[in-house]
This record gives sequence, structure tokens and C-alpha cells, in this order.
Amino acid sequence: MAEDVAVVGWAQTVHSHEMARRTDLGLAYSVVNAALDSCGLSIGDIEVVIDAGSDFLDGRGISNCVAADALGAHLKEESKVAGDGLLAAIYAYMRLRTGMFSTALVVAYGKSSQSGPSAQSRSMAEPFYTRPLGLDALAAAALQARSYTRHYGVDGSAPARVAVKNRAAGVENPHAQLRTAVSLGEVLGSREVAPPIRELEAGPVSDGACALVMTEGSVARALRARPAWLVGVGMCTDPYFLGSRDLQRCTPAAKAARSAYRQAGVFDPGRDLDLVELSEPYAYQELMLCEALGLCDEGEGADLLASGTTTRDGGLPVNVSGGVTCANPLVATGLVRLAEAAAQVTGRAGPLQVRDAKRALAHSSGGLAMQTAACAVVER
Amino acid sequence: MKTSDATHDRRPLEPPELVYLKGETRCHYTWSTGEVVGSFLGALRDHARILGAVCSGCGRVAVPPLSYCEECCSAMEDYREVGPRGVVMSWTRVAAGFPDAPLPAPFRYVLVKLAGADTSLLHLAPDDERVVVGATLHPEFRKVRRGAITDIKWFVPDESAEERTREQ
Ligand SMILES: [Zn+2]
Repeated sequence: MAEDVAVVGWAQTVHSHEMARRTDLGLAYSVVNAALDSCGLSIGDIEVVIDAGSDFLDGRGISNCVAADALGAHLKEESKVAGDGLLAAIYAYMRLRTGMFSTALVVAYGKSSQSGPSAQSRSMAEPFYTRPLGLDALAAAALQARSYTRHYGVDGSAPARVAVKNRAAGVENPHAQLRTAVSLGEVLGSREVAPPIRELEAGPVSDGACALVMTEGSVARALRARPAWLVGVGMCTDPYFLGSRDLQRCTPAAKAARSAYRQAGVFDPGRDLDLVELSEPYAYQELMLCEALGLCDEGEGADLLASGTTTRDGGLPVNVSGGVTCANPLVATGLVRLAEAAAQVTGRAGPLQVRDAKRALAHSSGGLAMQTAACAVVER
Repeated sequence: MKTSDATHDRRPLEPPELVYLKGETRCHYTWSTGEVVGSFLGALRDHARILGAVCSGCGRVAVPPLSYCEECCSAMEDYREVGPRGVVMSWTRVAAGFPDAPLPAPFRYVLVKLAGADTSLLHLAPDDERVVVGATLHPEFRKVRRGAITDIKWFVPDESAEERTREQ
């Protein structure tokens, strides 16, 4: 058993709506060596590769058969997660904790420009009850947004204010796709793409990739004076069918966070965390997630936002990177959150650096309307 | 397509324009809907009636039915007729059409909790301002039904269903 596991290296692409100069695997490959370089390891030092990709986005079944070579997995143990990259990082964490491996490479990539996000999310729909109705991720989120905002009487402008906050933060993020601020008037005046969700409350769709190097404690200490220790993880899933869920609460995120907090010794997340990186492709989700993660009481996400606590200069910044509002490389999104969190707690976040950040939470969601959640806590 | 016999030309190549390839994944499926889903779809087709499944463990009535209970993992083997009326729990509007859309846009998606059900059914509704949370809706079945969730055309506000009945 390995007691400690750390994130020692990371790299992400500059996400954009179409990265035509690279294939999907070219995207993934581009971050592999960059992540290794960032911590002074070479591919020969890596013992296990865990990757996250989408067969549908790639247009190939069991796509890691083709992908493994691009990920440096030549004659190594390699295994794929068909889900967000943060899950891949958690799988790597568990492998390292067993003591059977001391180094791992985690890679997540998604090239949505090849097919289109609506087609991708419709392909996820089960074929008997959902697919004939054509439900996509946006419409599913809209059904959740209405359930949540109506149940708690959330002001209709609160999600728009989330988008304004995150777009302002994204201006400073060199990896973001959208780096321009928007005004509240612009967001409120944007088209209702699926009411109550407005166009500027939805993140973009991006091509992008992210890679992390993770090691057990002794390797991490040898490589870095200050590694990002992965001290708590959690995962949870809700039922698939929207009508079988409590759409007013994000219970999977709450349970995943509780598990991560317990392991990390986080008792009061509002005080014990220095920043939070969330995966919220739609702005209302940040409000729900702040509640689920215990950053505020149930139904008070909009009040937390209004208090200024979650802005860059507030007591608990949420999405100082601009979050998914500013870049959404499907499948890589959650791993990017962990890379951002690791950069923050090790003082390497550059223009995004939150002063004196010691402990951070990274979150990912998957499926329609945040069906699944994963959380990881890193600290220095 | 370009053809060339200039294979002996050793001048450096200009960086090419990017080359795009188009393709699709074609795979036709014949899904057996199994006993439970099949019972639901058969009842829609043959009787224009809506069945829920009753959990043998927790008693929950799930609509649409599955062979397993999502909450307690017990088997769902009994059926109970539900609805046909239901209450809107949430809705959104689809403004623009898309390939294989179930209805011409605009239309609404609704989550409808049918009478006697413990879960809500995802379905369709007209883009009618009366389709809001709390409204009671009524299914409109298609005349020609083939055993699909779309054998219910959509759920309409109660009033208009009655109006339609009167008109007929
Ligand atoms: Zn049950």
C-alpha cells in the first residue's frame, strides 16, 4: 500500500472550437510529452496509462485500441474510462495507492468539432424511451434548471450572473476558449436556447486535451519540492432517467464530495477549501453544485454568488479559471479542473493564482443533467 | 482528385491545405425490448394504455417501466396501469428542428408525473403557454401505433383535449 499519492505534472491544450491542425489523437499526444516535461520525467518512467475518451466523438469503437500508442502506452498497462478524465485520475490514484505502481500518466481528450455535441449527447440516450424523443444534453439541463430554480425560487438572473463572473475570470486564463468578458445585460438579452437556459449561460463546445502525471509519495518528493497531494476522492451516480431523479438537488455531487472531504479531513468546506473548480456546462449548475458541495446551505447558491464569496477576490473563489463557461473540451473537462487545482495549490497557476491557496477541490460531472459526479481534493 | 507523374520532382513541398475526410458509422440494430419494456410498448400499441412497473422490494411504481428498480435493485415484475392524466413537473421549449426530431418545432419537452406513478415520464407537448409546471396534461395517442414511446403523440393541456373531444 502507498500512503501518499501526488499530482506532479500536468499540461492542457489551449482549447478552441476547432483544432483542425491536430487529429483527436494528435491533441492527446500533444499534452503527453508536455505533462512529462513539466515534471522532468520521460515516458520510460511511466508504469501505467489511464485514458479517457469517447468512442462516439472519435468515431471508433473501443477507441483506445488506436489511441494507446499516441498516449505513450507502448507495452505498458493501459486502460480506458468511457467518461470524464477526472474519473481516469481517480482510477490512477487507486492503482497507485495499491502499491503495485509508482508512476501513472492520465490523459483525457475530446474533439467535438468532428461530430457535434448535440449528436453526441443524443447518442447517449437509451433507445426505447428517450432516443425517439430526441432529447439532448441542453434540453435535459433545461428540465433540471427549471426544477431547481422553481423549487427554491431562484431569481431568473442568478444563472446569468454566474456566467458574467466566470467569463470575467476566463479573460485571464491562457488556456480558455472564450477570453472576453460579457455584461449582465448581454447574458440576459441572449436568446433562450432552451428556456430557462440562455445562450450565454451555456459553455462553448471545445476541442481540447489534458494530461496529468501522478506518482506515489517517494517519487513525488524526489521530483518536486512541493507536489499537489491528492488527499480525497469520491464518485457517485444518479439514476439515468431524469424522471427518476430528484432534479432539484445534485445528490451525486453531494455524496462524491462528502467522500472526498472525509478522506481529506475537510470538515467545513467553506473554510477548509481555498478554491473550487467545478464542471458546469450550464451556469445554473454552479449554483446547485455550490449547495451540493456544502459551500452554502440548500437553496442558497444564488445568495452565495451575490455575496461575492465565489469571485476571484472572494473568500472561496469558484472557477477562477473561468470554468466550463469559458472552455468545455468534453471528456477532458474534469481533468482540466484537477490540473487547475493542482497548479493553484503548488503556486504554479500563473495569472490565475489565488494567493496562498493550500487546498482545492476539483469536480467533474457526466451524463445528462449531471447524472454522475466525481470530486478530488488536492493540497500542498 | 489530382494526378501527377512528377515523382522525380524533389523540390520541398509547400505546407498543404488541411485535408478533411468525411465518414459515418453505420450500424443497424434490432433491439429486443424484453419482457418489461415490451409490455409497456405493447400496451401502448394494442390498448392505448400506459403501464407502470411495481417494485417487488420498495413498492415504487416506475413509469416508464424497467425490469429493475433503480433505487432498491429489486426486480420489477408486476404492472399497474397509470394515468392517463399527469402533472407537469418541468418543461422546456425546442425552438428549432433537428434531424429525426419527434415533432416539427416548436414543441416542448415535459416531465409528467402520471396519476399513480412515483416517477415522471419524459415526453412531448405542444408549445402552448398552458404547458407549465403544475398543469394537468392528457395523452393524445396516434391512430396508427407501432409499439413505440411515440405512439403517444404528445401530452396536451386537459382543456384542449376536452375541446378536441367535443369537436369530434
Ligand atoms: Zn424498489
